[in-house]
Amino acid sequence: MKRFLILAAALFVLINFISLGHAAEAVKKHKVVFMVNTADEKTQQIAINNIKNLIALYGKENVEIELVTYGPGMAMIMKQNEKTVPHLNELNSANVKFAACGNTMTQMKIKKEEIVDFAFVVKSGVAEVIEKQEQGWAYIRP
Amino acid sequence: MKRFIIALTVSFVLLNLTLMSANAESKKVKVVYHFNSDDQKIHKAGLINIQNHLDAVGKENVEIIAVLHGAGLTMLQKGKTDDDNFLRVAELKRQGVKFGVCNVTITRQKLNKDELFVGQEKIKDSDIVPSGVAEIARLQAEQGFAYIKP
Repeated sequence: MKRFLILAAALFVLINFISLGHAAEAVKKHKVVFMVNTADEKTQQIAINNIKNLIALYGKENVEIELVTYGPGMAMIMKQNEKTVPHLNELNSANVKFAACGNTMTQMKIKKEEIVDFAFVVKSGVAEVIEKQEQGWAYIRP
Repeated sequence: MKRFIIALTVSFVLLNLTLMSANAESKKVKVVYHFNSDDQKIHKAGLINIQNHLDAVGKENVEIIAVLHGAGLTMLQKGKTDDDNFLRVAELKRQGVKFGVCNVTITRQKLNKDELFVGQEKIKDSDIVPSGVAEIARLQAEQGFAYIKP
């Protein structure tokens, strides 16, 4: 009987540790995926501002941010884009990740060399947004 | 000792009942609607989306929060959106829809809170959130809200 009680107590403590651990982890880091799929420069600028504000609010060590671009939105991460690239460099040094849509690149004949070097290519921008949400990321479409 | 075991069993059953009721409560669908545009047509379309949403599932089965930031605050400013939109907002509020207005926007754009209306009434402190973007992320990540951008 005594052994049963010890076992029950140990189990109780263990369960508490596990749930506390999960809660602490969830509070520590925010994960947010932003998506831009329009060539509208105003929307692209808003996305940049939203991301900067969020980093200012949480601190770059407390938030993981990924910007997914697809379709006409990919204009935003082209090397030749003088309006956005200086801002993207700044965001890159704050650890923001940039995902480019491979399907769009094929269809619009965009080469990897034409997009900013720190961007990475995913198979599908839409699928990337879906998968991030499945992994518990919050989603914002500016 | 026997009494202790009974107490342990009772508390275990209680814990499980609590967890079960928490699950039942979470069946209420929670949705955040995102507004960041000064386009009156988008205001109107979004507000009608919310009304249709309530009508479709019943207001007792859904919790809806509309988060406004940036240019989206024009939805609460007289002369910047269709007059009918104030009636729409008031009607949604009456049915339990909450409005979360971004304080970063109010501060940066130096907006006068007396000129922001949630429906027919001036905005209250309870209608304001520290950051609209952070609120949208928080509702999804911590509260299980679905996200809709009209």
